[in-house]
Amino acid sequence: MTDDLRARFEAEALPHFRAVFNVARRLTRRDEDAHDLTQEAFFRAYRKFDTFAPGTNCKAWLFTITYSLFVNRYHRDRRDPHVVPLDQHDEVPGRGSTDARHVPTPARAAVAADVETALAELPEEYRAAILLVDVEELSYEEAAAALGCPVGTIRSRLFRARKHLAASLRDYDMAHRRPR
Amino acid sequence: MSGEHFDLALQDLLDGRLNPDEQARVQAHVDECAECRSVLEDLRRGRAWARDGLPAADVPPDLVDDLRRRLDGATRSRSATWIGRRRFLAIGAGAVAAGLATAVYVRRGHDWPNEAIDAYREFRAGRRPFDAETPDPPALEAFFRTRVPFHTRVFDFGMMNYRLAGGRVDRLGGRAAALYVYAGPDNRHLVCEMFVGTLTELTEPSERREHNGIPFVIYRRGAYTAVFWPETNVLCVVVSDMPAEETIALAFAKAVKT
Ligand SMILES: [Zn+2]
Repeated sequence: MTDDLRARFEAEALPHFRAVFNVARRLTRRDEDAHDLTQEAFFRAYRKFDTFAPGTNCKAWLFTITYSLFVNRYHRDRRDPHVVPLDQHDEVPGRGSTDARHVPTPARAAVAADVETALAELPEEYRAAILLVDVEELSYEEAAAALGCPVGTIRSRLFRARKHLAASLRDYDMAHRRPR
Repeated sequence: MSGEHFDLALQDLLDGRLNPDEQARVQAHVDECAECRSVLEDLRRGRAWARDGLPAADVPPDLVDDLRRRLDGATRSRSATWIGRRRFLAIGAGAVAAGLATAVYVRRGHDWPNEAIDAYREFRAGRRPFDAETPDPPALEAFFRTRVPFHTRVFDFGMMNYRLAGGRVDRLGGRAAALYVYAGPDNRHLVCEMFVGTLTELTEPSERREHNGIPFVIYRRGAYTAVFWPETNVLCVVVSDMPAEETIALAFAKAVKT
């Protein structure tokens, strides 16, 4: 019976280890914390795997556990210094600006680093929303359940988060690339 | 955005979350309105950057191995509990039950660091109230004397600006624990627990250190630090969310060689 549970866990939950690890990495922004958060989330998931409803979205269920653990354990009281206040962020990187980010033929790694930076500038709840919906392809409803908020909140967080990425990375679009 | 324009509905259009009538209405407006078209284009680009610009990093192989080892421990513990219950029912003796409870417990990969951190968080959230509220260490030692099966040593931290607030009889890993709390400057708190145990029962720590000949086992979990050390047959742990080095320094100050 226990072996069966373990086998089901290996088959249904562990394939999402990489996805959870990557969300944990971008939530905590520290490798050591991401390792700890991922392991702990899976360990807790295993201990209550008998409460997981077969046939429902296991990845979304794992994110629910991960996010709750993240909020409980990694929320620091003080505000993060390099988070952009949302009422300003839309205007931050000016259209057609000539700042250091504007490079005519950017290397792929540099682009990736700038996307990560733009993401990291978002307040945590907005980052979580865009990670779950756009990167991990959860539905609004699944993301709302995982983050413990109404669907309408996911909708507005996603709106601001996407606008922030678009504004922050506008120079790349102008210079060389139009993502679909 | 003014009344004539859309905002969130543009995103609903992009994500296909509108019913056919709404979709037609929003689309008709977008076709005529450059401002809304530009917002829609921003949303589309933001979504594309998130979808295509954030590749997944590989998982360090050790991480999955470590998890599997922990799962092995938990799997064994489930089986052991089950066997233990059956045998207990068959024999039905209290003394045997106590022995089995220990055996079952020892097989579970102890997550004392997590339990200690949970105790800290719960205390801070007001969910683990004091049984005895006193700033006086000897008074708290006297309180614990008849309530836990080991000798407690409640340290006076006055010279480090930490004042004893109180204590309670708690549980850690199914064992009786003496929990007590110090309040320091800047609303900092230090939760201490003592319980019967040995360092060899602990999971792999973030770090080990030695100070004045005493071995310290350190766990860093997010904002929290838990530091364990032995005193005779008892393990002591201190937990806080203050900077790790400050928690470690308090542990060093509190520990005595036995
Ligand atoms: Zn418009």
